[in-house]
Amino acid sequence: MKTITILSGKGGAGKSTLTASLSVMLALDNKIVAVDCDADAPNLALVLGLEEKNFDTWESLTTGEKIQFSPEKCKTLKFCPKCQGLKKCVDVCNYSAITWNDEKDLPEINELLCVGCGACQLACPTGAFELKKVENARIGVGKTQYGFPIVSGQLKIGESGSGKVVNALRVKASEIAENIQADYMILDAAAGIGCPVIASVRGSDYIILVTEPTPVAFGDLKRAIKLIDHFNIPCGAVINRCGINRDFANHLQDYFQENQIPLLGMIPYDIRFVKALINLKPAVVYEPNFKMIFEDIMNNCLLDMQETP
Amino acid sequence: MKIAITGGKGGTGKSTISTALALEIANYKKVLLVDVDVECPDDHIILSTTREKLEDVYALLPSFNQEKCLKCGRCAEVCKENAVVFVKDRYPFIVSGQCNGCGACLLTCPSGALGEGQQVIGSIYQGKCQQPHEHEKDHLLLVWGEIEIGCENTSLVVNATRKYATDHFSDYDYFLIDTAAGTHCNVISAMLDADLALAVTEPTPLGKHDLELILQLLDIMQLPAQIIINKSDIGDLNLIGEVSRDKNVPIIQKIPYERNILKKHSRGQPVVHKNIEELAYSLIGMRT
Amino acid sequence: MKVAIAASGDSLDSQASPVFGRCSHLIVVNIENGEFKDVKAIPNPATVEGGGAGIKTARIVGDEGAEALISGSVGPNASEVLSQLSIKAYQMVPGTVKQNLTLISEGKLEELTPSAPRGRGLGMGGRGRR
Repeated sequence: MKTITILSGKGGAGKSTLTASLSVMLALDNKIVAVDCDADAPNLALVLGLEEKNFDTWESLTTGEKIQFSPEKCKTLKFCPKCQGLKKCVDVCNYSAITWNDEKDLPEINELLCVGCGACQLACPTGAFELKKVENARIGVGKTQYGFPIVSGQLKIGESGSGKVVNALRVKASEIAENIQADYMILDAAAGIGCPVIASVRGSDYIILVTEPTPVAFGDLKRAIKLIDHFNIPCGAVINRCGINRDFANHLQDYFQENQIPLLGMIPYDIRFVKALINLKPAVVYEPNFKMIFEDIMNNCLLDMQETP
Repeated sequence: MKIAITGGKGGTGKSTISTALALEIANYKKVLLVDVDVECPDDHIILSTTREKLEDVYALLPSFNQEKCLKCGRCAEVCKENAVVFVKDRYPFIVSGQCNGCGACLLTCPSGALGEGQQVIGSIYQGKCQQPHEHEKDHLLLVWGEIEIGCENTSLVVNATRKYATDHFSDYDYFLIDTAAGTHCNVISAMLDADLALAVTEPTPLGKHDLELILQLLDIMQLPAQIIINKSDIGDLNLIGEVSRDKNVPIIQKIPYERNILKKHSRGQPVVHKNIEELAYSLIGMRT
Repeated sequence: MKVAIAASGDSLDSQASPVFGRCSHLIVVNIENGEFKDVKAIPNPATVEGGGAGIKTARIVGDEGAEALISGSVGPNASEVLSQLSIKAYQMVPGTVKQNLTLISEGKLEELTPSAPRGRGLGMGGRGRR
């Protein structure tokens, strides 16, 4: 089984649009599993016309820990020479999650900032801090109407650890892939190049870079390319909305050529792509004339994957 | 006053609106545009600014003093990130790319063998528009953060950028904070000291879905919120109207999907539109 | 020489694994005069991990006292660990564990260096190329 990750750096470049249509085309002749690796604001299932309530299963996920504070332990030992006035917990937190409440003369934890590292637990001489596992996300598995399953996750708002959630999604997807003997796993990465994206890139066999011909998208793309270079993974590129700036599209093509990144295809700027999204249908389903575009991208991608060792 | 421009969904137009709004408000007041989408900062491209590094952002990267090390392995045991590697009978070491700078290993070492080393995880820059109109010269400054590629500590760089702006530019009347897409820690960090959040959305089912998520976050953060509908003529405004009524969050402006806006966007140039003008007026308390 | 190899199974006849951090097993062997001794198959506990997978697996290689590792690709974190532990990584060839071990004992495997040239699009990408 091969894993393909679709990435862009820039938000709104067309990752989910491409992932959805590519998945539909691939699924015609292959067994695949699609994974939405944006656990913050997952869109892929919707683009494939599958609402959360129609998923087969949803289970809660506990990938992280948060610190719990027991004020009694801090208060009763207020005059303990070890800590009194030292506020070690405040000092050691490198995430600014602990501040001192002068009125109450107690530390205050900002749960939104706590990453569960446990430094305060180690620093506190009175054991007033304890790490507890928290349910920070839920993970769902559903069947699309296009013959393949999708794995999606939703981070609980205010919780941290989106990277770990993406890892958990991939593990779940691998189990499903194993069961159905899938040929391909398609990962729709989040925007940016941070930890959830890194979690979608690690161990992937091939990256499809999606961009649009604008200076902003290009700036983000270059950063995304540096990221995948860091992981030494082969890649190919797709230019979306290529008609919005033809000059820049040519400039992009030159860039790809100079940097030996195969151009897998170009998707035109067409209002029907927007309409497809509004109607919650993959572009190739909403407008069958688009099939050829995505079939080309698919074929070029598979060809490039074979030729790269 | 600090106004965050956020949205959850990528590509709704946060940077487009942030830069356009900043230029507009700069006609009347001093504006600091803070781009804390540190993974892929865009505002300096849209505004064609100069680029001047202000400072590097450091995270703790503990260093080992092998002479004091007892090879007990406690440091590796407490590391939640698998960054400390301890192979029996050998000196432990840290994989810098995996270290999130929490310092737990430092705290747990019984022999003081770990010292407070550092690694650069990003940088903070400032820039001025290259083709300024008269007012923009003094009234608009861009400050942005950029994370080292491959680094996972986005919120540390966001925090550092935000703090730098607050500490050094208090003479600015308005801060416009352009956040990243998403709803996780780097977006949370970006909005920590904001007074108001503008949630940018689009009138589509995806826009609605993600708007609900960002409004949930803003609610948890107890941050007053208002909605801006971008690309307002391409879908069904009722979708967002429902959310607005449900959550009791007002829609303060709609920006249509016009050809000239798309043209500017495609050229990486700032957008000018009367609806942005109106929005700027209402934000700074002026009448239309 | 003690050699570890990333594998997709637990025997010498298993296929060598092209991935390191998430390989199903690590097979450790003492190669003496071309003979394979003390063959040990270790199920890789790091298979369900995320970013720390490669690091954990590399640590196991270190724990076993191996001087060399055979694998298809090694991520940046795992590379750093191997390098700190002075363990040389070698490029696996598609085939069984046994075949790869034979090749390394004959000095016929190439070193895997972190800065190995990218296999970026050796193919033309078909009609996509303009």
